[in-house]
Amino acid sequence: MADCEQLRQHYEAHALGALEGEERVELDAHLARGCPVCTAEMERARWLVAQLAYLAPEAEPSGRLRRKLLEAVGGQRALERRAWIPAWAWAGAVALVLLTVFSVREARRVQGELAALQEQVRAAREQNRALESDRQLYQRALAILSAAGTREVALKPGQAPLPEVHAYWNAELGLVVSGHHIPTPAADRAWQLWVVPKKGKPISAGIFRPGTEGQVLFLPQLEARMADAAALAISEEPAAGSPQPTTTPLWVGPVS
Amino acid sequence: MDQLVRRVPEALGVLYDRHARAVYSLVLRIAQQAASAEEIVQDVFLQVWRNAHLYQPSRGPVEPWLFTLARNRALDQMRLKREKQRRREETLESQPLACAAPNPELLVDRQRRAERVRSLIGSLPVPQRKAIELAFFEGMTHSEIAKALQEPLGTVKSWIRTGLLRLREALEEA
Ligand SMILES: [Zn+2]
Repeated sequence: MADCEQLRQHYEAHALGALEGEERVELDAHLARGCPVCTAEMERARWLVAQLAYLAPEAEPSGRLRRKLLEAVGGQRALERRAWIPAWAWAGAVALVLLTVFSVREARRVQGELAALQEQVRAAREQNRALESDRQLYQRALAILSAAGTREVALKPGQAPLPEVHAYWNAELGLVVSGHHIPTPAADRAWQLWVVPKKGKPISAGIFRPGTEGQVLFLPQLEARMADAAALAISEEPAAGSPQPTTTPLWVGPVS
Repeated sequence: MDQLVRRVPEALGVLYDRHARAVYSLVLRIAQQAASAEEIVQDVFLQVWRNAHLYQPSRGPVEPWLFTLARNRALDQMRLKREKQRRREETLESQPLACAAPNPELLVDRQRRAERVRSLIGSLPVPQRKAIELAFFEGMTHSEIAKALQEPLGTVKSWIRTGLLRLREALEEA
């Protein structure tokens, strides 16, 4: 196993995206184990590499761009108020509702799943507590957002006046769910994220509750394969979560 | 940033005025076309708008992060384009006839930092500078650069590393 001293020669190249093959795999695996030394050094390397942006010849964007951007933001706010949902999302929501109608036999099976899920949730909570004590959670979220190859999933609300929720998926770094002004569910309820596969039933990606000002920053531990996902959905569930959605999802977004 | 978190559109205007030139310059250098560069820049600032709650000033300055986001989005776009182009060419052929900020950021202001980056990288031997530029602006890996420059892989690796370490020294001088 490689140690920090051997890996330090790769920090800058990795921040630059030039590292490849075994060297890259080794450093990534080491970082994934949460080495504080290398994590901090990688942050420094990323800062250094970002400074290379000043090598670009200076250019001026058109005045139109600023107007377009501010219009888009104003328009987004209007959209948040209007709360719009496309036809395909309704189809997805209806499919989910159908899936929540269980036979008695299935209900018994679900009991076992529920116990397993509660155990998972407990483990995830403990893991989250450990993460929250550090800046790691934010750093991971920012890393996912800014990484190469990250794809965005816009989860549209099915009801006024909920705002949109955005998820960002990176094959190597994982998934982050981000939102503003998200309402807080009742004390005994929580939001639950679902990965809806192209075939089969939704798979839980864990539960979350917004912060005091409705901010959501959720990094689920993914059991589901995002490569097979058709959509992400969020429904309101009991505080411990459900094995399958028991309410119509409030947000749905296609994974393209 | 605080106003941005509260979703005051004017706050985005302020952020834009401060950083748009530098972000646009970077994206244009990668994308080469003004129209696609503007689209990418708009997308970058929209992402910031949507995720403003992730930033806390105590977690470091926003600019390096904006650069990282902008660079990766622009390189993603270019890869997508190349992929499309490649596929188009293949179909044609198949037819007959056819970011933690270190202290220097606090010490050295942006203008001086930009000057130091340009002068340090500019002072490197041409092939070494070229290697760093191919990695940063074209998103090439070590072996791709070695091939493009027809230089040994080990040489390319050490050029990039020593070049960046010298840059760090230059930026950390008070
Ligand atoms: Zn380490």
